Amino acid sequence: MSMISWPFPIQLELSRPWWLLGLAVLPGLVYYFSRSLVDLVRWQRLLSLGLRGAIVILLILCLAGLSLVRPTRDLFVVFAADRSASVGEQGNQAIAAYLAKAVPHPRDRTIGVRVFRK
Amino acid sequence: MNLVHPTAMVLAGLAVPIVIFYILKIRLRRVPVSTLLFWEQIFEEKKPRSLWQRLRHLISLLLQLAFLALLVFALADPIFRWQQARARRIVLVVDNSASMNAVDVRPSRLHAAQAEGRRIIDGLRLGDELAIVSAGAEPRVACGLTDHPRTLHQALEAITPTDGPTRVVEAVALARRLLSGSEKRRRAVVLTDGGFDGVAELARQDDIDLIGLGKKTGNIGITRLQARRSLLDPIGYEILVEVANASDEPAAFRLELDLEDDPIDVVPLNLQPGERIVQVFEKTSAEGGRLRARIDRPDDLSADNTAWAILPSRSPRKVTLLTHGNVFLEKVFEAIPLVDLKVIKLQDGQPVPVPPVIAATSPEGLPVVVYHRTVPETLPSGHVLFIEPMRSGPLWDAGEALHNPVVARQDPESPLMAHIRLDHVLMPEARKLALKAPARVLAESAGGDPLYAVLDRPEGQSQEKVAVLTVDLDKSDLPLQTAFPIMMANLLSWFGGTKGELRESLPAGAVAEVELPPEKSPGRERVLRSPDGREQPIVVPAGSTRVTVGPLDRTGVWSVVQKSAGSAASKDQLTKANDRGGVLLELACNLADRRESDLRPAEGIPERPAGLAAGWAVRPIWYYLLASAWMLTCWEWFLYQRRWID
Repeated sequence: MSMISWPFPIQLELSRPWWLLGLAVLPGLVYYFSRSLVDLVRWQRLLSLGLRGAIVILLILCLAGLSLVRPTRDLFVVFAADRSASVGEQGNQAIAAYLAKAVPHPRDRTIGVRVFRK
Repeated sequence: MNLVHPTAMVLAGLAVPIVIFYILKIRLRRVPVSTLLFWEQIFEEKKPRSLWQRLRHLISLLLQLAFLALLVFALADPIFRWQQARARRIVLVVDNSASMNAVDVRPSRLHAAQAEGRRIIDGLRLGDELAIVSAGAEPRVACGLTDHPRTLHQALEAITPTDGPTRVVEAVALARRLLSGSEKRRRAVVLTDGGFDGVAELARQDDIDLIGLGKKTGNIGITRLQARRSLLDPIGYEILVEVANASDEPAAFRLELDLEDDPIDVVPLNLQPGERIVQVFEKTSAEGGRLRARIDRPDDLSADNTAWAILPSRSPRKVTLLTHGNVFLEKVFEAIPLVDLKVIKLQDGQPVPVPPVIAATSPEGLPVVVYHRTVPETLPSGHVLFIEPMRSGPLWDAGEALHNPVVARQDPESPLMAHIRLDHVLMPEARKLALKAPARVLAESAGGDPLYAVLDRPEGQSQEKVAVLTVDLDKSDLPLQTAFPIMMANLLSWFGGTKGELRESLPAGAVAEVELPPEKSPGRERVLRSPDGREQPIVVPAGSTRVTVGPLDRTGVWSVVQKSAGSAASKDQLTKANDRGGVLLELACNLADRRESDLRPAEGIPERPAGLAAGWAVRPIWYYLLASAWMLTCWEWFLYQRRWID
């Protein structure tokens, strides 16, 4: 895991940075380019080398897990529900009704309900 | 198999232009030459219409199409049903209690647990989620459920060692709450040395994978240390030390005690396997300070090789004696340690002076005034002792003289009467008193007259106390009895209160409620400083001096410090830990846990459970498709440049 720092407020992360070793094939591409038997004009050959190099670099960055890191703006809410004996049956019903209204989708991972009692 | 992004399959249409470009003939360059002779010979030798020439063209096309297919499938993100079904939710419970600091596994058991945790995180499969819970002094969720490896690694590395007790059972309960409601396969993986009760039972439970860490190693530790002021001797103190040999071998070592680095005792000990020994020491010191006990035998756990206690200091007590003259009375107060005696000799007919008011915040800081055969018009501030009051006062009406009173009853429960017997003391005369204030009679005559009593002050000043002794000391043999200095020493101790006698050493992981002196300069920050110099602010509720601090998760001496402006801002942690400036309160914290000191692994911990390894195909399919595309494009480049393909 490694972070890439920029002078911009954007952070990039490589989750599998050892894949950057895959860029070692680039000198090989250049070597076989220099000993090429292909009958193309120079600008075409240079263009093909540039495109192939770009494809290899993009593939390696993808395999290395290049990702953008940014602070989440999701709101997580935890409801703490007092279910102790002093609350009483009426209070428990009111709590249940409120939670049913406030947490319409129990599987929503941004909302949690924590019940506390002895 | 399902596709997460099926719309990406549209990109397969790029195969059409690739095929078109291969169908189109490349326009050959025209180059003027002088003869075609040699070209015709080569043309005959290697005819372009040969089988290989046609295949070469076809293979080139197929390689391009294969590359495109790999990319398109990778973008579509295929996923097998069995991959979805195998997704797991795991909670990693990392024991960071005191015994996990043992170094029998280098560098420590906790580091070994973190290394094991890293392996588990690296082995997460597609769709797996993992959370981390620490199980030290206080179970804590270090990281909620996530599949982001970097977050998990950071949370795992952020788990710090503590000297607290093991809370694995509570941490597992917390883990189960995190896992509740999930349809995925749920597991709690516990990384522990098994130093807690119920480990074998926990290991047998279906949803628990328990990984044992550490080797069987012996350990000698101080499992208890307490110091308190003596109830009898104002400058005396008592130390209780318990040492345990948690090993299978006998151990010989020395127990060393020092007070503020001054050695006070060294005891050679020889403990049999599993033996515990308790030693009590009695010493004297008025100053008090940090008391340290340590054993001189290094072992794999250092936290219990040293223990601390705070011995409260004793300050001199101001005693003012107003008397017409009694040498025994003067000498008895002079003989009591830590008494700063001032004698005021009264003349007949002289009005009784009232000593100046001395402000004090605690009972032990209040002055003591002793009136012998005199009674002032009003009670002075502070503690007051009246001896043979000759006339009525605010708290009693004086009567006639009692002749030859015999002590018929004395209060055996009162600390004022500890180690005192008055029934054989000759008392030719005493003063009869009718007490007006609520009183506790400590000794009374056969006729029910109080001879020695303590009274409540009418002003309701609970801190300031009043005692009265009605015996005529000039005629009695009480001053010649050993009971008399003990009586006066007991009285001064009672005046001072018992609050300063004991400041209990706390077990690691404890939360303590302490009383701080009132804030004199608002705005100055108060912090709790750990033994290793870490500081955390203390929030004192408005209008209160009591505050809860903790958990104290490291052994050593914790301090509550009033920080001055800019103090210690640039100091390192070690310098801070040794800095006594601004210290308001000190708290000793020791391991004091026989279970944590026993480093021998518990029975019933299984070997590493199967099923936690990553296995095959831990990555999503697109990952393998892209890796194949990378290899294919490199290989195709080589073939093309060497003209193996067109």
